[in-house]
Amino acid sequence: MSGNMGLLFLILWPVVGGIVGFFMGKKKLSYSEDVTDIVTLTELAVMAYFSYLVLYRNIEVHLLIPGLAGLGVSLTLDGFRTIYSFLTAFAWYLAACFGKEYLKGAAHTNRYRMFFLFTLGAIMGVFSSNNLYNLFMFFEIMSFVSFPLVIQTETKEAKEAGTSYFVIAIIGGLMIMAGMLLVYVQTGSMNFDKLREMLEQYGDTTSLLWWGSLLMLLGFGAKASLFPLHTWLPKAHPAAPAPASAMLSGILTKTGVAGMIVVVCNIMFPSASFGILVLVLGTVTMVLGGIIALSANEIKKTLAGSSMSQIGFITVGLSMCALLGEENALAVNGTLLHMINHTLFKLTLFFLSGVVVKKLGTGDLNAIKGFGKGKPLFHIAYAISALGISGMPLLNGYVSKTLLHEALIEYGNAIVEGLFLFSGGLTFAYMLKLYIILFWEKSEKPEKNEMKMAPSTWLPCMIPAIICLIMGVLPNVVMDYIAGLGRGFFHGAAVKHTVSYFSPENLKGAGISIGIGLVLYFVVVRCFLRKRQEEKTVYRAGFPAWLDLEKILYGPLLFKVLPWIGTFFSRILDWLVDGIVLIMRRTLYRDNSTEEKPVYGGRIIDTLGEGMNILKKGWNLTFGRKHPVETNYVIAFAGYKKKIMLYSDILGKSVSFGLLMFALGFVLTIVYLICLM
Amino acid sequence: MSVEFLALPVLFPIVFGAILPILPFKSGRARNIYTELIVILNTVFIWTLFFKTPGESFTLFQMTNMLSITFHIDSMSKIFGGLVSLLWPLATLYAFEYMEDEKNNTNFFAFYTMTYGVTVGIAFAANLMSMYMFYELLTLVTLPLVMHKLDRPSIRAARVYMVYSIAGAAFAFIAMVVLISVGTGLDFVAGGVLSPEAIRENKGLLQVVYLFAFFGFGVKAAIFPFHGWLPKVSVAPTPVTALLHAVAVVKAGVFAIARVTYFSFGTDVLRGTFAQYVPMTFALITIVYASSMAVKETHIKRRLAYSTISNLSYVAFALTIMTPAGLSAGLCHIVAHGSMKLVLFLCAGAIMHHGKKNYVGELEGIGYKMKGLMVCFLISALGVMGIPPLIGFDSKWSIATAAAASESGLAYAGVGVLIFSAVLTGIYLLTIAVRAFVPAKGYDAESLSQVEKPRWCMMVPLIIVTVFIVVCGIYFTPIYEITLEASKGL
Repeated sequence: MSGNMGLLFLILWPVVGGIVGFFMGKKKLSYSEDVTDIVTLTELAVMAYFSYLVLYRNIEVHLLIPGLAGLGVSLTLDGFRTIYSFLTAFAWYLAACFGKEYLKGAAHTNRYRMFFLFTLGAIMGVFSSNNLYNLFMFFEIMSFVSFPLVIQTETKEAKEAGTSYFVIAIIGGLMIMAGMLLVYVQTGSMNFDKLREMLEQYGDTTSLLWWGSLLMLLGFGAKASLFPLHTWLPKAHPAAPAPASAMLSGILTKTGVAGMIVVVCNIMFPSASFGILVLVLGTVTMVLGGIIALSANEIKKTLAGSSMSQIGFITVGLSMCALLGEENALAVNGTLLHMINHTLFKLTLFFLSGVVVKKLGTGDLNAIKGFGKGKPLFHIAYAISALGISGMPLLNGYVSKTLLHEALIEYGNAIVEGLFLFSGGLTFAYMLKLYIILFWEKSEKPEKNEMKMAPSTWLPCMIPAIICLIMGVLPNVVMDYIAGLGRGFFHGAAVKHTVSYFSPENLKGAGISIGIGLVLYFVVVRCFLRKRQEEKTVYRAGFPAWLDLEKILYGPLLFKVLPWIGTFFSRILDWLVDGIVLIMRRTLYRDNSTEEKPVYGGRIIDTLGEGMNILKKGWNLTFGRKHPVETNYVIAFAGYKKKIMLYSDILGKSVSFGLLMFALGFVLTIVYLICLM
Repeated sequence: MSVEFLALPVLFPIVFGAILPILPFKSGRARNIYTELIVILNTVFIWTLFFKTPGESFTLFQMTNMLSITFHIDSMSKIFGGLVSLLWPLATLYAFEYMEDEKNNTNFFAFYTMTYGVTVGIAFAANLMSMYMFYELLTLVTLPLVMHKLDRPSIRAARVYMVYSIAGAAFAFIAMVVLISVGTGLDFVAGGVLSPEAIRENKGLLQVVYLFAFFGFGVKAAIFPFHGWLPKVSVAPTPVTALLHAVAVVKAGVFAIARVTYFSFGTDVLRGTFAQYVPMTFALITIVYASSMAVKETHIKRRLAYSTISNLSYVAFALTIMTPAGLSAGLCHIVAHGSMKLVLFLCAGAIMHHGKKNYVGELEGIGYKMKGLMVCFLISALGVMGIPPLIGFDSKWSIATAAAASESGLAYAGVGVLIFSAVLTGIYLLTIAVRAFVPAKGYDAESLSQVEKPRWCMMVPLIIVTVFIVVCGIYFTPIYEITLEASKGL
């Protein structure tokens, strides 16, 4: 064991805290709330100290414990890992604060807080692990301990979403395990840095390394809601309570992305075949997520679709990191920054949606019209995040999207670039749609919208938004610095010249996206997704329900086709054994023919029975008048005798059959011995 | 410690179990305390022996100069004996609560205790003859346990069990005779007892006879096509199915295969021939077959029985890799699967006993009534699937790496089969756990009100073994190291 034990503390402290909080919360519910506060705050403080060590004083922190958890534990904090561990601790603290008011009066909050803290510990493990095995291990733990957060409310939707989440988590986990195994089989190593050197040796598309990496990419991608295993996300995010969905969207999806970074930028760098695959998957996710978000008629569903779409942007950036090879500096910066930006936006947006849902009890777009009127803080926070995520200049989203866009231009594929701008337009369109609904449309019951937020509720909404604003206004100072810190994890090249973010070409890209967004809003939303009914405007869901991949493809595949193949195979094998036994039974081992006799006990039994019958008559006439015995003992005794005969017969046959087989063995042996002599 | 003590953990429970029916107990409680005491004492004996292992072997009696009943302890004995000795007292404790409504419990516990001694006999056997004797004894002594209820299905199951077991052992007997005539003796020696000349002269014969031995002992290990008895035997009381058919009997089967393969025949004569490929193919077929059947099966215990069949073949597959790594991996999985499947069976038993539910479909929402129990179930189910950091992952990983390192095509196919089976394991075990905690709409809350909570006799063993699964998963090194020693023949 060597290194800094503080890393282990980061993982175990929330776990211990969760258990302690659970049992204290059983005594009094408010205790668990306090414990959660204390644990998340200390976690944040310790993480801040580590950030100071790693980012400011440039000391890399390691921990190596061989033999623990099977294959040893190896943890480290470098630039990227520190940034994300810090963001995690930060987000968790905000969510713990936000949860106070949001979960007041809700059921099972004690359980929720325990798993909330467990998830924090697991994610700390994911971000600090230094080899594939640890990454996978913490990833699996995270998947399982976050499951109770998804089904927290225990409504029908939540359970459905939970099942979907669980199944995909398991399939994703098995894919990672299979991939990891294939990689290990071929290279004999699970260390990130060693694997990087192996690519030249085994890099082609027929190698186990390539296919193993593909499986891992899909497995990690499942958590990041990468197409084709994205189906859980549009269900799980709306179903979970708002602080949990903020964590799911802001942090949990990023653990999947972190896994994908390892696969794409570390193991498979710079394989072109692999990069193109990632590019295709990313593009599909980006566009599909945008469409889901635009056509949704529920606020959290819109945000969930948006998460998926932004993950698509990140994945496209990731593929650029691989495809541009040594020239990938801009792509690396863009990917990293967009990850961080998306985390910040989604914290604010999901917290805000939580405020809406908590007050109105529903997130239906028709019910939340005009909710934001007269709430300046709400308005500011929403506007910053929404404009930021749509890539409006002077906000941080603009910077990261511009970097990604420049990388795409460098790669030079017009179709992907077009889809990228189109998805940017989709982002603007669905954010505009929400904005107009929340702040401009007329509320049907304005009196219901009045509320007062506690500071523990509005501060978590505002803080990420303010950070976004600072980052956006000073991109060359703040964002370039952060990108420089995290670059090592991507093995990215250094930027050769400072990017002038506000140059006309870069502004043009943002302008095109926003233009497309406006067109999309006025054409698609106004004409197709909104109808006038009895003097009111009504929004409807545009995404056809039957297009749910889970229902039309995965469900049948997993629960019907796969077991069917197995059972088909089993039936044949089953028939084989049964068939042989049947044939043997009909030929060699036929029963001796026995006649069915009527129940007859024999002379002695019958006499006994007659005697009992006489006694019974006597009893019935004397003592047993009230409850006469009516059994006919002749028949009863005969029945008993038959049963006894039957059982001894069965037992006898079995012994004899066993002995027969035994004797067969001996005969064979003796024949063999004779032959030998 | 003097060598005579080697026979103690074998004879002690047999003798004290056999006199149990004639002892004048005033109440069932007194009998239970006596039984538990015997079992715990025996565990203490075994662990004392592990720490102060006598270097030599001890011959109980000599029949001819070739045949003797002899005990000794090597690393393999430690693994199997250690597993059995840890789980037996816990399962016995569980049995007290489970058997409270049954009749003839005195006889039941008598045979239950005797079985402990016989199983340890298999673990401590120093030669094939001793192992064979205890192996046959195991069949006989567990037979009354299987047909404990004495109703028609139990008797039928017992009959099937006996026919399969005795027929299998007869095949194994043939192998023993050949080894006497061709080899240098019956003792277990790392690398086998066959001299190079003997191998040269009798190669074909030895390979065929190995197949006899493999499938003969494979009957208890439930290798297709001799798996039929195991799901049928699940009519027996749960402590029996749990301990005997997840730990003792079936593990005795794979243990015997390991002994015969690595310590009697030796892998040199077998590796790379049909004597390796045929068993390996059958093991792989069994894995796929049994996991598919488990998905199809809706009776909880029968589903678990099929899961056992499939996991036993993981072990058999690991053993047929025929490298030291394969032996080590197989032994790891014996420990891992033994403990995990025990938990699953005990949970199923508690549900059947206290909840009166037998089918998977009836378990909707039961997690709310039996929270601790179903959490144990969930953890073990995840372990069986092979999710880190539970013990199941460590053993599966060692099997997969051993298979990949052996670099034969069939072993690579085996890795694929392991992954396929893991998916099916997820389906057949987690559907139970998910149903329990996330019931489908319209489930019958009414019927759950009948469910009683399990008491401490059931919960304590469950929790201890679950903790074992987690702790050993996180700190797997000691188990792994002892299996490594075993694979070196120490």
